[in-house]
Amino acid sequence: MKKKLIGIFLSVVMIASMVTGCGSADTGAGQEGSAGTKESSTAEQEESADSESGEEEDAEEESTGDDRLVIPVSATVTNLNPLLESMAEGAFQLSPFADELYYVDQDEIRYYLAESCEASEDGLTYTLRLKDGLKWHDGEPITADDVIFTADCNADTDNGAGYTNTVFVGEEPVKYEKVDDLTVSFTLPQPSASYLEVLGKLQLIPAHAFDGNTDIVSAEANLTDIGSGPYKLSAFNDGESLVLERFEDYYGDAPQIGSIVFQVISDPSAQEVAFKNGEINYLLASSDATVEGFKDVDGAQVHQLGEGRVKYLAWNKYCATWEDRDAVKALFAALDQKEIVDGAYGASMGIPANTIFSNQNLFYDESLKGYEQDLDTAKELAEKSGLSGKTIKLHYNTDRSYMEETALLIQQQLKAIDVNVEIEGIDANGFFDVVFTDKADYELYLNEYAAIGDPDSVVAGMYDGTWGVNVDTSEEILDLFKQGRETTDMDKRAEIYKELQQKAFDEYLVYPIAYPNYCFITSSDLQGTEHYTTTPVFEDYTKLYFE
Amino acid sequence: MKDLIMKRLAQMAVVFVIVSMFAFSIIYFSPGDPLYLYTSPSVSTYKMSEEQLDDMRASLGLEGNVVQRYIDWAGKMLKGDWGLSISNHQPVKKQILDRLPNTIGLMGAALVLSVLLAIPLGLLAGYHKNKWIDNLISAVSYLGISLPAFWFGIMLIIVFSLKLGWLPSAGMRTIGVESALDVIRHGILPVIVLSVNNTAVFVRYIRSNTIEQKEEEYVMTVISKGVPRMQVLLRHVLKNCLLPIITIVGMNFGTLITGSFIVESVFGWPGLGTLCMDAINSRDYTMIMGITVLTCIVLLIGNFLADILYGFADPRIKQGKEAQNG
Amino acid sequence: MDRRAMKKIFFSNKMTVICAVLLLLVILASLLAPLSPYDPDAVNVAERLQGMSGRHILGTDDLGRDTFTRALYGGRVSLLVGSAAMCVAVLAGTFIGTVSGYSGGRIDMVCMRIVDIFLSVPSLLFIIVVYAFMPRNIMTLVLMLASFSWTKVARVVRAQTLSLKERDFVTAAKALGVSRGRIIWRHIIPNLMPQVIVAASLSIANAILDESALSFLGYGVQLPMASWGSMLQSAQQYILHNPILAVVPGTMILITVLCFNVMGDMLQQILDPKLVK
Repeated sequence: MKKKLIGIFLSVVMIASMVTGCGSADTGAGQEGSAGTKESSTAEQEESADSESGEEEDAEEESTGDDRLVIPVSATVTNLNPLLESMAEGAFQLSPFADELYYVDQDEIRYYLAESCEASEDGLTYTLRLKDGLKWHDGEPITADDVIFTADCNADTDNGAGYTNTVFVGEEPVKYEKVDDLTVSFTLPQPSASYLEVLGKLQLIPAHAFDGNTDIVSAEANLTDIGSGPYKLSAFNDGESLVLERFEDYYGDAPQIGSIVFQVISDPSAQEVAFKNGEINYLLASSDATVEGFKDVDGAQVHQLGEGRVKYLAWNKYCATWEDRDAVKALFAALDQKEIVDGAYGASMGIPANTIFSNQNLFYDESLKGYEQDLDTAKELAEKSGLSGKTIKLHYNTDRSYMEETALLIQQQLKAIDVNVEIEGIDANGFFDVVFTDKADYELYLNEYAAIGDPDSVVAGMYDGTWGVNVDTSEEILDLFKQGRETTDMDKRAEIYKELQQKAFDEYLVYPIAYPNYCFITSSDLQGTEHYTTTPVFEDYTKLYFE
Repeated sequence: MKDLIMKRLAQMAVVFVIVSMFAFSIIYFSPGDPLYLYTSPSVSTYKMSEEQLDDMRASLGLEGNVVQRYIDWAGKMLKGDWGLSISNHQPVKKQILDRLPNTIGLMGAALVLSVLLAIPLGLLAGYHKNKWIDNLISAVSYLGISLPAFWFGIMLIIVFSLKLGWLPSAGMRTIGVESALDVIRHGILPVIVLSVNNTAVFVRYIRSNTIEQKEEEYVMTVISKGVPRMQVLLRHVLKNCLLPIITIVGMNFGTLITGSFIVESVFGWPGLGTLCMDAINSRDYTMIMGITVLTCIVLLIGNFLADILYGFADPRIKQGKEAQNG
Repeated sequence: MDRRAMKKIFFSNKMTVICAVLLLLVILASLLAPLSPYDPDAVNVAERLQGMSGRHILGTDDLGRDTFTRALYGGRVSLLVGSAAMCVAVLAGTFIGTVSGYSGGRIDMVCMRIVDIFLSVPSLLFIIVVYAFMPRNIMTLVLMLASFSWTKVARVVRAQTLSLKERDFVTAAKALGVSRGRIIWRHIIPNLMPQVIVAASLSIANAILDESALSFLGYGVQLPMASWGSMLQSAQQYILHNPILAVVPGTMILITVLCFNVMGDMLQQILDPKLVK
C-alpha cells in the first residue's frame, strides 16, 4: 500500500516539475499576443544570426511597416508617474512619454507644453501660459487645472514628488493661482534666479486620472497611460520592458519612429553584445574601452556630450586631521589630476575639472586653472602639518561610475606623501547617511553632483549647507551664492559667479576631479541625433528617424 | 508516520517564525534609508525638512520600533496582505506573483534538464565503473560542480551570443515577438547555467547509487537468471535510484534558488532574483521580506519533503516495514 | 586502515595526484607572490589594459596593474578566506554535531532545529543583507561564509556520532565512568576525522565559490585587495575587450575548486571501505 502511495506521489512530482518546466514557454505565449509575430520572430532569428555588426537589422523592421527604437536600461521604471519616478534611469524612460513645460538651454528656451513663461520685474512672479489644444494620451485637454493639480501633488510632501522645488523656495512655499484655462501664475516668497529653469522641467500629470486626489503615491493611475509626450503607453512589463508607441494627437511635430522600447539588459557587456547583434539601437558607453571599440566602426555612431556633473574629492571639516589648513594644501598638492582622469575615466569619458561648476553650467569659468601637483610642496606641508604617517579614511559611493578607480588612484598617489588611505565603498542608499553628517570619523569622500544650467540649484545646495553639511564654505562664498540667487541681471550674475569660483579655488573648498562625459553609441541608421546637446538624451524624440 | 509528519510540520512553523523574525530585524537594523531618494542630492533637487521626512515615514509605515513593526507586518501577512512596496507603492504580492512564473519556469526547466541528463549519464557511469566512459563523465561532473556560475554564464554569452550570434544575450523575449519559441531561445543559456551544478550533483549521486545497487544481492540474482543487463539496469537499478533522486532534489532546492538569483542577474531574466536584487539596492523592506518569506517557505517544504521521502528511502526503515508485512 | 595502505590508494589514483600537485602549485605560487617584480596595487595609468606581452605575461587591468601578480596575490586572499571559512565551519559543525549526536534528546532537537533554520534561509540573500550592515572586512566575510556551511558538517558529524556512540569502545568508556566531554574528545572526535577531512575539503571549495559569487554581486573584499572573485567582478566591464582579465581569475577559481572537490571525493573513497572495493 505504502509503495503504491509513493509511486503516485512520485509521478505527481514528476508531472509537476514537467508542467513548470513548460511554464516558461506558457508565460511567453500567454501574454496578449499581437498579429504577425511568428514571421517577425523567424526573420529576426535569421537576422541576428547573420549580421555581425548590426547594420541591417531594420530591414526586417521596415518589412513589418513599423520601425522601433530599442534602448537598453538596467531596470524598468517603477511607475509611469513622472512626479514619483525620481531615479535618473526612470526619468530617462519617461522622457518620450511625458513632456516638460519648457527647457532652458544656455542661449535659448525651447518650449514644449508651455507657450511662454514670463517673470515680473521684481523677479517674484512667473506667469506660465500653456499651448492651446494640448491633449493627454486619453484625449482629454491639458489645462491650467492640471498644472494646479500637479503643483498640489508636489506641495503635498508626503508624496515625495520629484518637483518639490517648484513649489518651495528654501523652506517657504510658492503661491500659485489659476489665471484662466491656460494660464497659471506662480508667486515666490523671495527672488530665485534659477526658478525659471526649475519650473520649466516640471512634467504634468492629469488631474482627471487621479480624480483630483493629491495622495498619489499608491494610486492605480500611476501605472496607466497618463502621459503628454509624443509617445504613449503600449505595454509595460515590469522588470522586462516599457514599450511606447506613437501618439497620433501629439501637438508638436509628428513622431517619426513607430515605437520606442526600453528593454532591461542590466549588464553593460550584455548590452554591448546586444548592440553588436543588432538587437538594440542605442548603447550608453560604460567605459573608455567601449567607446574606443566603436570608433570608426561601420554601423555605429559615437556621440559625446558633457554630462553636466562634477565629480570631486571633499575633505570633512569636522575631522581633526584637517584642523591645520596646510594638511589640506598638502593633500591637494599631492594629487595628480591628469593621472586620475586618464586612469579612471580614459580618454573619452571625462575631462579634468577646474572649478566647482561644471562645463555645462551657466557662468562656468573656463579660464580658471585647476589644482596642480607639486610633490615637493606637498611633502613639506604634509610633514609640517603632521599629515605624513597618518592613516586616513576615504568613502566613496559604489553605485557611481569611476569612483572606485578614482579612490584607488588617490590611495596610490597619497603614498608619495606617506599617507595611508583606507578605502570604504558604501552603496547609494547608505552613502549620504554616512557622508553628510557632522561625524568626525572619516577624512575624505568622493562624491558628485548634477551641475547643469543655472548654478543656483544643486550646485549651490552642495555648498550652502543644504546637502554637503561638512564642506567648509566661508561666509564670503555663502554671500556670493545668495547674491547670485537674488540678482536678475545676467551680466552681474556672471561676475558674481566668476568671483565665487575663484574664491572656492583659493579656499581649497573641495578638489574638483572631473567632468564626466556622456558617451553613447547609436546604430548608424538612426538619424536626427545631432539635435541633442544636452543630457540625458533625447530631449525631443520627434526629431529622431530611421534612414 | 502521521505523527512524524505532524511533528515536523509543527517544527517547520516554529523555524519559519524564527527565520521571519531574524530576517525582519536584519533588514530593520541595516543601514541605508528607503527614503534616501528624497534626501540624496544625486537624485533629488529638493531637500526635505526633518518634519516632512517624518510625515512621510509615518505614511509609509516606517515608524515605530522593531517589535511593533514586526507584529504589524506579521499580522497583515497572516491576513494575506503583503504590504506595499516602498519604492513603487504597488502591492508586493502582485509584483512577486507577476515575476514568480518566470523564475519557476527557469528553475523547473533547469531541474527537468538536470534530471533528464543525470539519469542516463549516472547510470552509464555507474554501470561502467572505472572504464573510460565513467572517467569522462566523472571528470565533466567535477567540472560542473566547480564552475563559478556567473563566470560560466558570461563565457557562454560571449561564445554563443557575441561570437556565434546563435542566441540572444539577455532578457526573456524579443520585444514585439510573442511566441513560446522566442522565450525558449532566450531561456536556453540561463537554463544551461542553472542546471550545470545540479546535473553534476545528481550524476554523482546516481552513479554511486548504481554502483551500490549493482552489487546488491537481488540484482545479482536477476542477472544470474539471464535477464539482459540493460533491462536490469532500467528496471531494478533505476527504480531504486528514483526516490533518492527526488530526495536530493528537495535538498538541493536552496542551491537552485540561490543559483537562479545569480543567473537572473547575469542574463537579465525578469524573475524573482532580479526583483530581489533591486529591492535590496533600494532598501525596499516590504519587498525583501515578501521574497524572503516566499523562498523560505519553498525551502522548508523542499527540506520537509526530502526528509519524509528520505524516511521512505532509508533501507533500514524499509526493511523494518517489510519484516512487519511479512 | 593503516597509513601505508592509504598512501598507496592515494597515489594509485592519477587524478588525485594531479590535483594534489596542482593545488600545491597554486598554494606555492600564492605564497611566493612577493617574488613578482610588480606591486599588485601599484597603478600605472600609462600601461592600462595591455594584452599579454613579455613585460606583463598576462597583461594589465584597467589601472595598469599586472594581472599575473594580482592573480597570485588574489590567490592568497581567496585561499585564506576559503580556508578560514572552512576552519570556522568545521569547528562549529564538529562541536555542534558531536554534542547533538552524542547527547540526543532535547539538546539534539534544539541543535537540529537551529540547523534547519540555517538550511531554510536563502543563504546568499541573507549574506547580502547582513553584509550590508556589518563592517566590511575579511573577518565578516569569513563568518558569513562559514555561517552557512557549518550545517553540512554538523549533519555529517551528527550522523557519524550516532553510530559511533553505539560502538563497544564508547560503551566501555561509559561503563568506566568517563565524563561525557572526555568521551567526545577522546573517542568520538578522533574517529570522526576522516569524515571531517572530507567535509573540510568540500567546504573550502564551496567557500571559494561563494566568495566569488559574493564579489560578483559587489559584496567582496576591501579595496585595493584583490581576490579572484573581486578580480572577476572588476573584469566584467572589460570582458568583451580584454577577456583575459576575466579568464585568468575564472580559471584559477575553477582549477582550485576542482582540485579541492576531487581531493575531497577521493579521500572519501579511500576512507569509505564500501566504495574502495
